[in-house]
Amino acid sequence: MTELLAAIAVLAVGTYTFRATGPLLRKRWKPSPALQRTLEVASVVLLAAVAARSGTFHDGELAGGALIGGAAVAAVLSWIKAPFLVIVGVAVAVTAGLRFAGLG
Amino acid sequence: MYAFILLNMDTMNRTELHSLLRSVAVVCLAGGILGISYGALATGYGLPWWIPVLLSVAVVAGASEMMFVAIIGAGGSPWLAAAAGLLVNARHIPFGFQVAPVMGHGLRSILGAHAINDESTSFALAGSSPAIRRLGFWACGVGIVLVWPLGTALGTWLGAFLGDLDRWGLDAVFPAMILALVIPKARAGGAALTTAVVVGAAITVATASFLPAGLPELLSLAAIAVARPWRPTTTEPELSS
Repeated sequence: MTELLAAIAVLAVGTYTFRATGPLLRKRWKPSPALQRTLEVASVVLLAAVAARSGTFHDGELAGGALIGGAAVAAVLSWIKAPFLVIVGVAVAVTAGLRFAGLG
Repeated sequence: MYAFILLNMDTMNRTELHSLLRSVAVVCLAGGILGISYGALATGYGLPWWIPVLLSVAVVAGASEMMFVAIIGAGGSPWLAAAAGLLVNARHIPFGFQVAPVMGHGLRSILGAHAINDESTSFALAGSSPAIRRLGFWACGVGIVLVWPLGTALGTWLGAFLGDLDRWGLDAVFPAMILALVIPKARAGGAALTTAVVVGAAITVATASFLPAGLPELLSLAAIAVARPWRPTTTEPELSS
């Protein structure tokens, strides 16, 4: 039990440290414009990668066509700048519909 | 929060403000639903209710928490679970640098750091003006910090009664939300950024089946080389004037 609590503390403190590094360093050191652009691109690329993974993998295994289909439709709707609610709603509807049709 | 909105009213267009708050509300609602399914999942492993709830309060990073409970639920070492969770959460380091300017200084940056997550970072990137980015980050960040543990607690309580939430297509909510915020940003960044995003996503998906979770996402950073953002651009003030 103590070991479990200590492991949770390590994950929580470590994650907070990751989050706080940028905000706390910023007082003393300001990234150059080139580094700022790089960090912005890094954030966009990372978020897209997180979305791509969560739209294609489920519980560590390749997802069925229903989730991949819903995520693909969301990507297309996002590209044509559909409203936020439409994107999320259509993605859920497509995934539920395909799953109902037996596509896993 | 309301006073904060009023302070920013003059710098924001009313429709833009409403559409932002509506999007934040949807994201928070979705966060709560994801929390419910996570709480139900954790109790499904036979873990006591307070473990997922404590993680949700102290960590607030869904993917790492699900991995943590999956590992200890399967009888694995808590230290291995913590290490895997930290690998998944390493992406918050660049997020922190990116979000820092919208957070403010002092106490606000110390508290705001806990509110950095995939969703709030997406709002901080996607907003059309500094005021919209700041409000989007804070509203979404604080909302998730509150709604995620509440959803988790509810999920541990409702547990087995819920059945499979994925039947309703709810597993598509998270990728759809992030794509909706990030793809327009990538498109606005031009062909170089769009290509980097596509290449990065391809690297992640191609490696996700055999690398430990977290690593495929970090590998996507190699795609930054495609956009080469460190090179001087013609849009920089000293060059364009």
